Amino acid sequence: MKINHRFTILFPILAIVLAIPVSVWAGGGGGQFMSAGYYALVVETGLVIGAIFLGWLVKEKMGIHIPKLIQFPILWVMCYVALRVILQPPIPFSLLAMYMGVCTICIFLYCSLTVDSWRDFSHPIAVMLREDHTKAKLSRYATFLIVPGLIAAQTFNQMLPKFGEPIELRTVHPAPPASINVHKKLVTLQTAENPFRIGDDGNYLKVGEESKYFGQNAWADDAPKFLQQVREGGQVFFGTAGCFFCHGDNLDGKGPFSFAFNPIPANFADPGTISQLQETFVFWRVAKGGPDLSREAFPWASAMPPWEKHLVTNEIWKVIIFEYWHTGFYPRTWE
Amino acid sequence: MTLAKIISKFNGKILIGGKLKMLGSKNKTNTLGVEKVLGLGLLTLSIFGFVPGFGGIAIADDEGPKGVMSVAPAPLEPKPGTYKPKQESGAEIEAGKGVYFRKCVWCHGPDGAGDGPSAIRLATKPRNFNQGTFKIRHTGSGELPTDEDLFNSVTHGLQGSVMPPWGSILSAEERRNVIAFIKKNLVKDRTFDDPDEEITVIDYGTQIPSSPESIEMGKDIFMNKAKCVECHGVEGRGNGNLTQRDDWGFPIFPANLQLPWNLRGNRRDPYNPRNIFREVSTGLNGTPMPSFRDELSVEERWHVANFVISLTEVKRPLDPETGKPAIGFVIKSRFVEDGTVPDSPTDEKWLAVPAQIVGMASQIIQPPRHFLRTVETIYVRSLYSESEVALLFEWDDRTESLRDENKEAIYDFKRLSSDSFPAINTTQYTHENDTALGPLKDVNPEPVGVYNDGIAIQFGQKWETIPPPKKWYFVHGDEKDGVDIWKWQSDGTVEEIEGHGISDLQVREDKNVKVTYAKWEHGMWRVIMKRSLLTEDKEKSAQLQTGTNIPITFFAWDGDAGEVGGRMALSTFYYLMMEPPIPASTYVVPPIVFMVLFGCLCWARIAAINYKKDHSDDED
Repeated sequence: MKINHRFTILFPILAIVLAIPVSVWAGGGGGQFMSAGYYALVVETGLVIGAIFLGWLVKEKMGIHIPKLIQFPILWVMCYVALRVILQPPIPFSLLAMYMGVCTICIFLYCSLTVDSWRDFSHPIAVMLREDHTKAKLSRYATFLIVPGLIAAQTFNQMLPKFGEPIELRTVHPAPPASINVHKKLVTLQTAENPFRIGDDGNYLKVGEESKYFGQNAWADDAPKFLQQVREGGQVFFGTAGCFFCHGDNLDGKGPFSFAFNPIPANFADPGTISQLQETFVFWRVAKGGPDLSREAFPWASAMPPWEKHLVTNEIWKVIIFEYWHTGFYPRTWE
Repeated sequence: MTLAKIISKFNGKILIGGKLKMLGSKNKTNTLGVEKVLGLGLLTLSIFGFVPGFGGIAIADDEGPKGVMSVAPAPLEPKPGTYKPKQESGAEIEAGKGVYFRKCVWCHGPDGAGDGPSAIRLATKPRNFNQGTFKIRHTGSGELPTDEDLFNSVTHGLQGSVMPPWGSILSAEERRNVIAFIKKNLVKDRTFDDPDEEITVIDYGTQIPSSPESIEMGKDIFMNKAKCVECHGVEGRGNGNLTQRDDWGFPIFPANLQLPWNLRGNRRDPYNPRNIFREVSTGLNGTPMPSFRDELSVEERWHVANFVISLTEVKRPLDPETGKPAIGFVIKSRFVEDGTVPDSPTDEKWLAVPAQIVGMASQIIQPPRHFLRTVETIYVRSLYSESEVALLFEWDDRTESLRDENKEAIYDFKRLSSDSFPAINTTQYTHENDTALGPLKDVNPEPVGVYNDGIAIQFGQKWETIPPPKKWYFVHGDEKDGVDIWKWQSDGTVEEIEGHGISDLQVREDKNVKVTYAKWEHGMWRVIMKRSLLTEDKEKSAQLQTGTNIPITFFAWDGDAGEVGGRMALSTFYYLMMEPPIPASTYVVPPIVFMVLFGCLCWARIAAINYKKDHSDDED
C-alpha cells in the first residue's frame, strides 16, 4: 500500500499535541503509576524522537526544503516550549536559562556544521543585507526597524522603575521549643498528652483509635465521653474564643476576617497543617500565639492571639480535640 | 516576563561578541567569512530581540491586584409560577442530619433555633430555622423558599455574614440532604407539604440592560417613588433608618449598597443586577425590607436594580477565595509635579492615583478583645511632594460619632440584644486567664455612650534600621520595637503617639501631623492627613523615604460601635511606596539603543556590499 507521505506528517504532530496535556496532567500529580519527573522524562524523549521523525518526513519524504535560517528559530522555540511548558514540574529559572544557552549553541552548531548548511543558513541574511530587488528591500527595511525597535522597547521596560510588594519568605511551621510554661505549669512538648483523649472505658485513646467517633453526632444526649469533649471544644472554637472569625466555619482558614490578614489564617482542613503536626505542637501554637513564633515565622505579623490569656488549659486541649475531629485528621506521633 | 530577564542577561554579551568578531574579520579571509559573522550577529539580534519584545508587552499589566468579576457559576433559578417543594425521603433526611451535626450545628444550634455557640459573638445572628422565615428567595413576600433558593444559599453562602459557601466543601448530594433535614425537622412552625402554603415564584420578565437612561429612572424611583432612600441613604450606604429590628427582636441595619459583595443574596456575583431585581421583588422575609412587586412594575424594578449596581462606580475584581475585592499590599503614592499636595478631596490630583483597598478586621488579639468592627474597608490614596506626604482616607460609617457619655450608641450592646432571645445576645465577654474557670467573665470594660470616630496609621520607629523582613508587632508595637502612630479623631484631635504595645501608648508633644480635611457625608468619612517626610525627632518619629517600601498599618474606630482604644478595627502590614518620578534616562536611553543598533545594521549592510565587491567571483 502506498502511503501519501504528505499525510504521514500528521502522526508526529498528533503525538506532540497529545503529549502536552498528558505531561501537564502527569505533572499535576495525576500520574499515579509513575512519578511525575520520570513521566516528564519519557514525554521529553518521545518529543525529541517525534521532532527528528518530523524533520525527516518533511525533508526526505515530502521533499520540502526548509532553509537553516528558518529551522533555527523553529528548533529554538521548540526547545523553549519543551523546557518551559512541557517539562513538569517546572524547572527553576536559572536552570532554564542554562539549558537554553546549551540549546542555542547546539542549534547553531547544527546550522553551521558544513559549508553547505552554513551557506543555507547565512545566504538569506546576506541577500537581505545587500540585494536591491523589492523583496530584499522590504525585508531589509522591516528588519532594520523591527529588531532595534523591539530591543529598545525591551530596554525601556527594563529601565522603568517597578514597585512591587517585597518578596518575604515565611516559614509556616517553625521548630517548636522543647517545653513551654502555660498557666504556671511546665508542658514538655515531646511527652505531653492531651488529657481529653479518653475512650468509652476511660482509658487513654491512642492516635488513630478516635476514628470511630469521626462523623458522629457530638450533640446527641447519649454521646460518649470523647464526643462530649469534642462538643465542648467546638463551643470554645465557635463561642468562647471565636476562632471561626479567622479559621472559618469549616476550619479552612476562610473566616470573615481572613481577607484582612497576611499571613492568612491556617487552614486545618488542608492535609498539610494539623495532620502533619503533633497535638503538643498545636497546643504550643494555640497557647502562645503569634508573638512566640521564631523570627523566620514572622511573629510581628501573625494575628494569632496568645490564647493562654483568654482560655484555660483544658479549653485549649478540648479545642484541639475538636479540630482533629472536625477535619477527620490524626495528629502526628513519634511512632 | 521571565523570558525577558534571561534575554537581557544574554543580550549585552552576545551583541558585543558579535561586534568584535565583525571588526576582527573585516580584513581576514578565514573560513568564517564576513557572511558568517554577520549572520551570527543578526541572528542573535533577531532571536534575542523578538522574544523579549513579546515578553515586554506582557509586562505592561503589572498594575493592581488580580481577580475576577464573578466568582461563581450562575445560581439555580426556579420556573416562574406556582411552586411545589420536593418531598424528601427518610433516608435523605437522616443523611442530612449527619451533615447538619457535623457542619451546621455550631452556628444554627441543635434545634435549628440559630442558637449555636457562635451566636453570642455575632450581630447578624445565624438563621433561626424554626419559623420557616428565609430572607433570600424567589418567592412572594412571607412565603416559604423554593428548594433551589435553599440550595443556592448553602452553595454560595450568604456573603457579608459568616455563612460560607459550602459548595466547595459539601457535595451536591450532601447539600440537598441537609436541606431536606432542615425543611422537615428544623422548620417547626410551618410545613413544606402543607397544602395551604402557597409558593409563587417571581418572574424576571425581560431584563432591561443598564443604560444612563435606565439608571436615571432607577434613581428617581429609589429617591421618590419607592423611597428606598429612607433606609439605604442618599448614596446607598445604608445610613438611613438605623433603629429597626428584625422578626426576632434583634436590631438590623439597612444594607450598604455600595459594597455589593456583602449583600447576602449576591450569590458571589455581586455586580449582577439580577440579584437586586430578585430582592426588590421578593423582599427579605423577617426584615424590614419589603417586597416591591405590587408597587413597582417589572420595568421599574429593573431600573432600580441597574441604579443600585451603578452605585459601585469602580467594579473591582474579586478575590475568588473571599468573594471580596482583591487586595494589593502596596499603597502607591504619586509625586505631585507642582510641589503642592492638595487639601481638598475633590482636587483632580487625587484622581491620578487609584483608590486602594485596605481590609480591616476586629482587634480580637489582646484585651480588650473586640469582635464586631463596622469599618471593613478603607479606601486609601496618597500623594507626595518634595517635602510632605498626604493620605486621603475614605471609609463607610453609617454614623457620625462624637464622644457623648449620655447618648445611646447605635451599636450599643444593650441595643444589639433581644428580649425574646437573651441566650444569644451578643457579648464581648472573655476569660481573663487560667484562674477564671467557670462562666465567661466581663474583662472588657463596658462601653458607655458614644465615642469618637477615628483613623490612624502606624509606622515603625527607626524602621529603616530594621533589616527586612523583620518588623515591629503590628498591634501597636512591642517593648523593644516602638511605633509611631498618627491618629485623628472626629472631635478634631490629631495626635502623634508612641506605641510599645496596646497597653503602652504615649501621646508625644510633636505636632507634625496635620489633618487638613475631615468630613462625614452620606455615610462616608473623608479625611486628609499630611506630614512632612522628615522631622526633627529622628528617634521617636518615623522618617519617610521615597522609592522604598515602608511598612504601614491602619486602624479605625467607629464611635457608635463602642470602639475606643484597643477596641478597634485594624489591618495587617501594608507598604507605602512613594514612587520616585520616572528618571529622564528611561526616556533617553532606549532611543540611543535604537540608533546604535540601527547604525550597526547599516554598517553590516555596507560591509556585506563591500564583501560582495571583493569576492564577486565566489558568489553564485
